[in-house]
Amino acid sequence: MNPHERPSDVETTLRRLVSSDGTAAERVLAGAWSRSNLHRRRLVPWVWAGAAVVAAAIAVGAWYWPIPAAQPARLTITGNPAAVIVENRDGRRWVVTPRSEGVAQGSVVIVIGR
Amino acid sequence: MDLEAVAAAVTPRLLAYLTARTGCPSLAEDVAQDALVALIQHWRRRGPPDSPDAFVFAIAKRRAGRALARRALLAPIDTLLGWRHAGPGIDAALEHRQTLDAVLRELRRLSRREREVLLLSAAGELRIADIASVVGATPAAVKMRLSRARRRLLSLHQDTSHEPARTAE
Repeated sequence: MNPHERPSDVETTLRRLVSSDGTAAERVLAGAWSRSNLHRRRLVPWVWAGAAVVAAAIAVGAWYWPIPAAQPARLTITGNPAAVIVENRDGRRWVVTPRSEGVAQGSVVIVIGR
Repeated sequence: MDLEAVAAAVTPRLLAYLTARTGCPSLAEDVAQDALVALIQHWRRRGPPDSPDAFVFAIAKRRAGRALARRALLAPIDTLLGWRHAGPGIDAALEHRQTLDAVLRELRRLSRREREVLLLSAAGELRIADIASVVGATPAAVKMRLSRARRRLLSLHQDTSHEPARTAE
């Protein structure tokens, strides 16, 4: 075996010097678990709080959102007392005239000769 | 794979690596905890990584680099404001600390790449494949760097041990 593939004396000394007692490792581990659990516990309420705020904002927005009122029909009225013409924007037209006195219904036949 | 078992198995090695990397046990504990939190969260959200060892050591290596840079930046301010304080039991740890410093000083004479693979192998006790994944090199390159680092350490050690003789002459 190549002597340079074996740990040197310096490495062996270093390993001995830096090897910690069990208490330090336990302390670090306990701290890490506690911090990660704390982070988790802190995160969950924030997620729920965020979701509640978003839901409330949507509800308030929906409640106060201005609903466009149905536009009234625009009518143009022209004419004279004998006949009033009401015209809608879409082009439909109504002619309003006073009620006629009645259609003459006689029994007369007009014959026009050639 | 069980997350608790994996985390328990990796923690002592991670601490050893980070102590060697930073030279400061308290900083090593902070960075190790950060790396473990990242592992736990990744595991819960996306399942276990391909190699938990490589995953956690890669994060630890990155964060240790950042922590060292931050410490180097803030150290003068800490000293100026008197925030730096001695840890508990510093007298008892002095000899241990001096020996560790001497070893780390010796390792600092290696190139950055060689030192990194040596620390991951010696202190982190990682496999070659995991070291390759952490440092972003091929396993063959890692083997070569490791061998070169050991050869260089040996020659440096021999040079150092011969120095007093030369001085005496």
